[in-house]
Amino acid sequence: MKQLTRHKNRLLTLTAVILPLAIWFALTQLHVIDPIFLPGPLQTFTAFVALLTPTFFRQELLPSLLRIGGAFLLSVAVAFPLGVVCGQSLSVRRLVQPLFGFSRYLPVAALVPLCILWFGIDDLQKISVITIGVVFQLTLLFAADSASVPKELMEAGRTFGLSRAAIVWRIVLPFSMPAIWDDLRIASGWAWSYLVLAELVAGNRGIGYFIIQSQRYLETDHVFAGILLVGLLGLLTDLFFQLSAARLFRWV
Amino acid sequence: MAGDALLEFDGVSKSFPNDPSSKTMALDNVSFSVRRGEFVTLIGPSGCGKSTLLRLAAGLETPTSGAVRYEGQTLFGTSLERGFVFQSYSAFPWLTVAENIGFGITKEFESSRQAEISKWLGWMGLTEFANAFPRDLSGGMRQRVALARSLIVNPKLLLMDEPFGALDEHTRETMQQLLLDIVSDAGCTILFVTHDIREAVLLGDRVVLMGPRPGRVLQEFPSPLEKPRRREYLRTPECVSLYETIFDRFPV
Repeated sequence: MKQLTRHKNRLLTLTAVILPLAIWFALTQLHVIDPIFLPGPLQTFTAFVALLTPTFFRQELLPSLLRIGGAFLLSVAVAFPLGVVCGQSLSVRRLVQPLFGFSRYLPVAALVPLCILWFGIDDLQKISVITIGVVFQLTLLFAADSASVPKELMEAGRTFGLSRAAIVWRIVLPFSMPAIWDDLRIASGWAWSYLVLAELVAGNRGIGYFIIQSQRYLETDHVFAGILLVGLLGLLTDLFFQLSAARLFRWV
Repeated sequence: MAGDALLEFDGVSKSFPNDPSSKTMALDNVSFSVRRGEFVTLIGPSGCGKSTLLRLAAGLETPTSGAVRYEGQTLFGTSLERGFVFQSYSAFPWLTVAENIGFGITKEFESSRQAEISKWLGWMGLTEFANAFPRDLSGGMRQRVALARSLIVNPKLLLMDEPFGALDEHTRETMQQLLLDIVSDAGCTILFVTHDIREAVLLGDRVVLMGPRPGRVLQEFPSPLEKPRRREYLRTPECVSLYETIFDRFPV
């Protein structure tokens, strides 16, 4: 690919941000689309700022954060040990791969009704939807990470008389940790989508619930503000994983 | 067999996969031994099974038939007593140079860890790179890290698989001299695989020549050179004549 000059780079990036905003602004300002269906950028921004209150934080944001955090921890608690062992042991892989390989392609949205049937409409349902969406994929990603350790590094460990467990602990884990960390970053994005999905269809409280309630009252600017908030939170999570990776894995 | 043999290959054959009926025979009925304190170089064309022989000695592979004995006992699995230096750069990328060198130090020697590491950093000329990661090192420096990492645990036997094969000529010569100097101090027994006749003649107390498909020992040549070895010996008539003899017998 051809390299761009710094000037051209900035110009293009700026265009990519400003152009859609300008079109959005024009569409609403010229009343091409009714603000009930498409609120303008300013209206959306105002609605977004209005969200940043302690009440909203306590009633909608905090429940969502606890759900996604809980589901993410639960997924990692299952996927991490299982995935790492899967990548290192052929027998465990044979046991896990058929079920997980199938389950990763299950449409999560189609499982939401089952989750409601089994777990009701409270936090447990949200956590189960997110976990089902994340855990199978994450396990298989971790398995691929732990299987990708170069043979000579594993054998170098063996020549120091290390046991299999010690090789996993002292070689497989440190070597694959940057890839595992990056997979966590990717999975966090899915988790945000599944959180909103689970909150849209059932329950009370949460960002998804806030979005669907606003839609019911035709407060489309609130719908937009809610979507924007989820987008920003997803971006922040992504940035957290990216920036911490640069500090944690200086050797890469 | 000599009574002071540290390592013995006794009618060792090796097939891949590890099955006597297999067509691909890497080693066929190989017998020779390495005495305590001896430096044996193993030379032959590629595909003659010399690396396989080394991996058998480490315990990374098991023979299809015959026996590999270490200190008179049939060898089983890897051990801290038998160090291994790989051809490819096997320094652990997530550890600093100092941490790499100290990798094999066990808990009982924990108290002298730092002192030992400093000592080896000095001998290997790596003191100023103690906190660098392998990715910042040249090939020769990485191989010095791997060498120090193996030697710091005082192995009784050091197995080296074309350790300087990937280095440029000048670096290779420096490393050969470094190895000779350290070995004459440590009194370590070494089995060294190479495909470079000059290297085999310079380093070995005995040169074992192997032939390919299937791998077998063709001839053994005791070195006429006195110790400690110096690179200048390569120009002596005895050395030149040994080089010529091996060159003539070298299978093509």
